[in-house]
Amino acid sequence: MIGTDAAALPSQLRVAGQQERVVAEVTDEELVVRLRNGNVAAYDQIVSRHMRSAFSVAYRLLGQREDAEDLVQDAFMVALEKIDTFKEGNRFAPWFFRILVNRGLNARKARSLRQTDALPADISTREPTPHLEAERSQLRERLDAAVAVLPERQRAIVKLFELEGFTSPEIAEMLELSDGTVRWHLHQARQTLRQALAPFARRNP
Amino acid sequence: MMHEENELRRDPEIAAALRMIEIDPPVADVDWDALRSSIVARAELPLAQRRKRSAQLSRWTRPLIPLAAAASIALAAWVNGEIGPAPRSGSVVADNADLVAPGITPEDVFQADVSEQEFRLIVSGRANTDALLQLAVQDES
Repeated sequence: MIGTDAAALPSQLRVAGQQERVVAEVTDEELVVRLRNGNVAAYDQIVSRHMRSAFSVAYRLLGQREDAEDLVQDAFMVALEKIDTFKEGNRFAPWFFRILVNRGLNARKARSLRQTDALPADISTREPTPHLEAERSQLRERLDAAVAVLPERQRAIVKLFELEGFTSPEIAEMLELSDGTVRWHLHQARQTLRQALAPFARRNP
Repeated sequence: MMHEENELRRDPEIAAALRMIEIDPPVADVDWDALRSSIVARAELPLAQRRKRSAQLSRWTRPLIPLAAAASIALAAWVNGEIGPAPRSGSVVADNADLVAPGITPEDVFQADVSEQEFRLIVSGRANTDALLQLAVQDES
């Protein structure tokens, strides 16, 4: 899952300011070497490759488009500042996503200190189905409450795993946790959510 | 194989429940070109600083490369001269065969009756070689 954005590939086949050439085979790690010397095209290339998946993850963490865009920008800037600490032989993507997720979690924590986390605005406007609306609204409330009580990391882990399709070793690398710890958090989060779903599952077998 | 067996599977029920309360990232609403341009624009200054640092570094290191190479060669030559095996008389003969008169061996030259001062001159390389050879030849005859 961590890697090149398939959707971003066509735009990345040309390197700005240089003779046209296919660069899709150039690895992130090779681009990092150029980036260390201040190569703009290499930075542009790295941004193109990862900004879409970075945005998705940022959005899962923050729930607001503008905040997610800010987080993506911030993470790329921090990655550039810290690029000298990136160890050769490692993969760039997990290193970058670690920065993104950690900053996202911090931003979320800071925001929750300022205000109660607002639900995404358009939930109530999504696919109104009059027949089941009352029940669904009740279910959403329970789920919201269940997700809200999850610890920050657990919430991030369950979203990254169930919605973004990252594997547990990938999440472990991102969050600097062991795979076992990620699995444990996932198990706990699933249990909490299942408890929230249980009354509805009994009602609709 | 083991890894695949151990790999956690997604839970469709949990995923569906999360999707109920989570909106999918609005990827269609994002102006990707603008976002990319904005990120790259913000990075221009730090990237320029990196280029400058890199250029300065290469300006300093470029003249050091031949100096380092020369120093290495000199060191290697010195170390070989210091700890290398002492040249045997035979090899000296081979190297300087054209300087020695026919029929005269190096032993003859070294056994020639020379004064201490002349011997020092020979060893230091400041002696008049022709005169010394002449002396050795005379002594032999």
